[in-house]
Amino acid sequence: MARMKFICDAERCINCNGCVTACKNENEVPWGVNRRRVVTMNEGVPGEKSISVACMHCSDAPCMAVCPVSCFYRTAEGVVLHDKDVCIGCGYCSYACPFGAPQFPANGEFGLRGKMDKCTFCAGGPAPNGSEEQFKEYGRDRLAEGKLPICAEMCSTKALLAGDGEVIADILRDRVLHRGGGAELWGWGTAYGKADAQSAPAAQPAPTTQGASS
Amino acid sequence: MLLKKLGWWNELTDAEKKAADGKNWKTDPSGGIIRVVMKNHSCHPFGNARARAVVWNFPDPIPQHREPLYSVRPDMVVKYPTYDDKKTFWRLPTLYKTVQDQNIDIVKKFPLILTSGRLVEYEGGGDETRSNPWLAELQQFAFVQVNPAVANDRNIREGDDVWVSTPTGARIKVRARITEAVDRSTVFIPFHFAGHWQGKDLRQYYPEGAAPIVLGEAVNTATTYGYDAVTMMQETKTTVCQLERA
Amino acid sequence: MNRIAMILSALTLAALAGCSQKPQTLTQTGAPPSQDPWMGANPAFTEKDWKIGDKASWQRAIDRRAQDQNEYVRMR
Repeated sequence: MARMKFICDAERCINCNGCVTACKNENEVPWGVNRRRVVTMNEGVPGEKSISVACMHCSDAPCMAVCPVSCFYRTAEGVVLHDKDVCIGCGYCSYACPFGAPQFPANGEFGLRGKMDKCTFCAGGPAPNGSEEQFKEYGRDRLAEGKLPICAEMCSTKALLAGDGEVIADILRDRVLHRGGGAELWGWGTAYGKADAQSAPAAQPAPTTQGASS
Repeated sequence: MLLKKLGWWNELTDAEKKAADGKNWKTDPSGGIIRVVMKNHSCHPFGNARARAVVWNFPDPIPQHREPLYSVRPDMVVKYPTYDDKKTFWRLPTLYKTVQDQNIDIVKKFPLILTSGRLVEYEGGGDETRSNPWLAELQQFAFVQVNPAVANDRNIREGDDVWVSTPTGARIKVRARITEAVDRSTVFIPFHFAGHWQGKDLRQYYPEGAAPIVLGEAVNTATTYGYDAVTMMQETKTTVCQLERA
Repeated sequence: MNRIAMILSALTLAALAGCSQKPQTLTQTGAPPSQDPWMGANPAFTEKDWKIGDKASWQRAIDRRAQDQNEYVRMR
């Protein structure tokens, strides 16, 4: 049984916002709603890290727990979706979510929010897979087309991984084994390493004949 | 140094010895080290940055540092002056020394270095990418990245509008982004924006429906005179400026 | 007479039992309303490397596609 997850490798994220743009384009998300966002910490200082955040499709989703009309449900793959026809736009899910995933398109009188919109893991929502109405309300249903979410597929550095939890955890483990981990992964020491066997070549030219006597 | 160790130093002529003293393969302006190593001893170093050639239309045989025309360091201007004026360069008179001498004390009025650069979200002049809703939402206004210390000295806070003034007399209004990404002597403004002219919004002058979603100040309204003789590029990348809170 | 009336009213009551108010709750119970992904979507956009309706084949196709995010497979 697949359990769909996202992993964002903060060592690789370059804050290009490719995932954000891909998601907005693919799902035609309105202005003001950002299903996916890139958060940058320590901007400009050593140790700057970026990470791409959207709905984490929690196992015990707080949004699902607090919804007064119970419009949330989890699919067999672990994707947390909701029914916009049932949603009353109260905003409780938005308060409950630690990642700020549920968003509202409107900011009108008396707190009118409109229907909640959030990352769907590109799995659409209720309504037949790939239908016009599903697209209008929820965006693309890529899982039903045998594809993975567009944000991960578009990630320029493959920092953002999506798919079955075990598979992508394996990929990340492979990656960390090969490159090493830790905070100063891409620092000066890695590029111009002292302790490394492969050190930078000498600046002086090395003559092809050594110690030629004139 | 290496030449002395190898015992080839005395094969240089006296003039070459004077120029090459303390220098290496890359920085010897006389070319003597290259001549001795390659011609006399048939040693041909290979690898990155080893090749040497005489480029007849470059002003210096080996690149020399020359201070920019508008510089915040008057002492460096004296030590590393720029080229003499060219009477005709591609059939136009191109000024170097005159402008630099006129502006040697420009740091008193404009103490900050302004550099301009690209944004990930936008491309080129910006009109096409600023009309794209997905990209426009990511960068909604032209900004100036300011170091916290610099901002503090000028009473500028995050999100404040700032007047950036430069030696051309231009004053552009951009929004401040306080960040440690620039140091205390530099500010950064992105290009790609257009549609505001020195604080005035020009949206009503665009044809109906043709204005991009996001408008902003163009940084080149403020950049200054200069033409690089080697790369044949205009000096619009960088200049000096002063900030004040709007 | 009373007995018939009583039986009649009892029967009427029984018959009308189904006409009570509709339940006021909006809770979703039972199976989720969206279709399973292995049922496929618009055939013009659906990938061809799995069999529509076959859950295991969809699963395999998705897992293989997840490996497209892994550049270390090319290094081996």
